[in-house]
Amino acid sequence: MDKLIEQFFDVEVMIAVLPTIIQGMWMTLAICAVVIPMGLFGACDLRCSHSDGVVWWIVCRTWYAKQTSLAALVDDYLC
Amino acid sequence: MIIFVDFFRAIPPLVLLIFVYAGLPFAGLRISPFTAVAFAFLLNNSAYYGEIFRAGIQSIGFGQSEAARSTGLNASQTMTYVVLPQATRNVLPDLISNTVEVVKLTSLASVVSLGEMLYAADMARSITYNASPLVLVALIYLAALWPLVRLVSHFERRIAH
Repeated sequence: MDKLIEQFFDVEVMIAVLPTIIQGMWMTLAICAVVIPMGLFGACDLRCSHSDGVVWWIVCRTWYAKQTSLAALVDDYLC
Repeated sequence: MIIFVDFFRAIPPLVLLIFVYAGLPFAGLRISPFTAVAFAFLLNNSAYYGEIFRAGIQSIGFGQSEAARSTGLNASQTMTYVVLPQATRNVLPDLISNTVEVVKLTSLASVVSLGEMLYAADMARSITYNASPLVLVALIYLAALWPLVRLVSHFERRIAH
């Protein structure tokens, strides 16, 4: 039992690695900030339009917008 | 549209991610890990969110659209001002539930060496020879997502009554 606690619940290790984890958390938040709103609005657009052409136009537009703005910004500052 | 939704719902997100990150460079498209992750997850989640919205839109009676059109609204105004607000309210628990899944899905990004939370924890684990960083990440996910899960239950109860 002590081994288990030492291996999985070592508070000292947790505190020591916290800054690294927090840094990773920002990246996780950045992914969520891009994927969730764009997924929601993209899906909403997708369902409100009834043309396959429009769907692919949305995909291309989303791709282009992400490539040029948000992703580039995050690449510059976080990666 | 059906092909898009069915394809991206059926394909495993990990395979899609690896295809986008490692496959597209062969087609001359070299993209950063972040862009690959964002694009792959966007395709995957658009399909899921799209199905949720479809269910919501279909749950609204056709009379609503007819009534809106009879007042002079065009098709897109009818969708924007009449159907979508009601549809979104009906599927809010599912939207939040899927959002929780998206947040958990981001842990797959570690596969393409993107320094997100699980990747950082895994690196820390390999340095310290201790699995505690992974437990810490699990606790952070739990703390962040538990309120959302409770919110889903709250909305489900509200919609049921």
